[in-house]
Amino acid sequence: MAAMDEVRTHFSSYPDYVNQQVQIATETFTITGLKSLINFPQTIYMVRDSLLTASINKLELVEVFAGLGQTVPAETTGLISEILDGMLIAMHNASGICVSIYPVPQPNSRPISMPIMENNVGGGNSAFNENLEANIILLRSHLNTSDLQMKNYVMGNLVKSNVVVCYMESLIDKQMLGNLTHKLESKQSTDISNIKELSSVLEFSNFSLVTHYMTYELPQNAAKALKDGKAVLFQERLPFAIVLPSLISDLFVTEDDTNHPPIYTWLLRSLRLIGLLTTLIVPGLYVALVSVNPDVLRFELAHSIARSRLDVPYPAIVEALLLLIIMELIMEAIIRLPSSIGPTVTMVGGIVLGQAVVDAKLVSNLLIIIVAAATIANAAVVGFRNSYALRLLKYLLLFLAAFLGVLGLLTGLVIICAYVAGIRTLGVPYLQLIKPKGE
Amino acid sequence: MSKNLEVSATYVMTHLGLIFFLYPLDIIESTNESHWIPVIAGFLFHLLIISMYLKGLSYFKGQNIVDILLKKNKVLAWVVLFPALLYLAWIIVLAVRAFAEVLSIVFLSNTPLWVLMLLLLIVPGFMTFHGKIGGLLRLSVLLSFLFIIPVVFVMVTSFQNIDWHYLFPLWPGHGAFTFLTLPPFYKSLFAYTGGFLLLGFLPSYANFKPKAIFLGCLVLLPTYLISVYIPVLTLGEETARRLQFPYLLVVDTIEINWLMFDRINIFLLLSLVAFTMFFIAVTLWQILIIIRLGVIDISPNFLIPIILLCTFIACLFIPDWKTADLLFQWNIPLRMYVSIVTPIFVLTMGWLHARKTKLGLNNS
Repeated sequence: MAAMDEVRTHFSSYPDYVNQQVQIATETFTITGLKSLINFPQTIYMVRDSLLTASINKLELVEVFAGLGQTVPAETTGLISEILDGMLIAMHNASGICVSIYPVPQPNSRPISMPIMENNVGGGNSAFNENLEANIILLRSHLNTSDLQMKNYVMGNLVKSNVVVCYMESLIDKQMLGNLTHKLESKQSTDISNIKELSSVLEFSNFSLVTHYMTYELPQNAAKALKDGKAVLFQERLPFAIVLPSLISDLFVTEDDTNHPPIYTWLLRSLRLIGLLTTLIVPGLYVALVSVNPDVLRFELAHSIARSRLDVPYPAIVEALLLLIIMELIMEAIIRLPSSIGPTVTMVGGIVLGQAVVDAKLVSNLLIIIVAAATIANAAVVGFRNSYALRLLKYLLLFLAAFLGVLGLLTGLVIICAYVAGIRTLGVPYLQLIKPKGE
Repeated sequence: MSKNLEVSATYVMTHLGLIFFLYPLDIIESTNESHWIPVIAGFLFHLLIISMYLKGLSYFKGQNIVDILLKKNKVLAWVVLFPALLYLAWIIVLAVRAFAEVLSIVFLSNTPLWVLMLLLLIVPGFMTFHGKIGGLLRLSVLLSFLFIIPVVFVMVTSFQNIDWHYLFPLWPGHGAFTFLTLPPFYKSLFAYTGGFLLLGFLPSYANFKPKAIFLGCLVLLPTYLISVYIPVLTLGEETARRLQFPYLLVVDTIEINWLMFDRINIFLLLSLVAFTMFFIAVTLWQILIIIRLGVIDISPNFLIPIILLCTFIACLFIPDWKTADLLFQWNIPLRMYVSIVTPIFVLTMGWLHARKTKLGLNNS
């Protein structure tokens, strides 16, 4: 009884705290919980109904009551944490037995709906959302097998949040799984509310340019990853599955491809590869060919490029940087703008980048084409996390090309290759195609 | 886990970077006609040493050559390891210096040589430092995926201006094997012996079948032949002999109407830069292993910069191409020693080791 009073004082300032007495026959029960998390009318009806039936049938009321949920010790902190987790706490006043009942919850997230970041053409369209249970339901419906294992980790001391690790027992690389669970277990006291904190728990380098994990909104992608022997993490309140580790093939391959005839699958994948190379190379190639190695080009072409840059008063690298940065700004600005203003930016950007800047003799015609090609190609790779890496790395090639021409371009490519070849996630090398394996 | 693809890609890659520059001229200088005989002779020599080497290594599952040698007899081990170390250091210096020269001739005539040399050292240093051997092995696959296509493209297009008559006579009138007496032939062996030592330095998890290596060699054979025969078939033997880099010059004369580039050899050269950087990185790795296991275990964080710095200083002391060429010549005895003694030594030790274990088994 004392514990219940303490709980009541703890929650006394909460506007959504409910503490209610229910009288069944001669027995009194106290029912408490947070109405923001629990649908109270329905839950109380549920509880009362079973108790009333029991009393009419002359059954032992207290036993039926204890069977409604899980008996918990009447101890203040335990009760408070149960209530905050969204459970209904009921107490039999005479005996002091406390039961934690799974209630009818208040809906706390959007229903399962279309993906926002991840469009697909050929496959299903239900996407993960912020609700952990809903995500697990979706995943299970795609992978109906007993091989699918799930482990829940409650992370954090101050703020608790759940992280669910899913994997296929028979397919996953045991060493990687060991690494993953060890890291989660050893840092269970770390608060996790965003991916950065999760990354620091998993000890990913802060300076890594290539993403160590992929995020998928579509359950079929997560299911495919599981079948390939990867691990899928769900973090509470994040509307996507985090797939570990990411491999280089994640740049080119999505599960959606397999819904097309195989020829198109491979054509689409090669297209993405071309996109990757284009976005990396083209801006650098422009700078290299214009400012360092014009002799590599055919004379006619070199001549026409030189003519288009006749009035441009600064070196090619400055010109390219100018336009590329404007492009980056547009891409960044459009993310946060309300959809009613977005088109304005697109239009203004289109005019500025399209005609005016050329007419004003600030940049050459050709560069507009280059920047457009690089930006479009950048979007061709799978996953926006991967496109970030490409957006950055193209500047490495740009600067090297400005220093050393085509040789710099090549050096940049080799450096990127070497970088990619050396990356490991949880002991698994990044440069693999389908199944992640340790060394 | 089997790493056949990675190991054989590494093997092919390390050799490809060496073939197209000095090798054609050395072969052309070593004989007047039927150039295929010295090419095949060199190739057979190459097959012989790697099969001995691989056979020897196969007696010690999953150990690298430094461990194998040092476990037996320290003095004998250093008889093999010290020349190997010296040889590896020597070829890094030569590769960097020579390649910087080529780059400066072909496309960066205004850039000072030391910048190019620094580039050719820092990038391989990064490869080795960041990737370790696992990263290098994976890198070989990625690089071959990206750069084999341009190389093959150039090799195919280089047939553009050939005259098949220069192919004859297939068998020389007299003295078919006089090339064996001339130094250029031994110089040309550089293209065969540059990378084979690596096979002994792979870590235990990189298992591979010897078959994969021999397949890799088979891929290389046409490359050796093409690099020699294209200049000969295009220009004739007499003219080809006068050029410093005959193959590169021939590629420079190719014209393809539909391509926006005027100089095809840029594709070849850039790919070769990538392969050479890879070759340097792999050689750096071998030096690293010898020093760390054999001499003193310093962290690579310090060792790699130290090696790079020493190499860079050594490169700076080579003033011109003539000196570099001279160093190539002086390198011949050492190269022959390393490429003949090491495999034989490893094979003998492996054989003794196998006999000992067999005796041990019989006794127990």
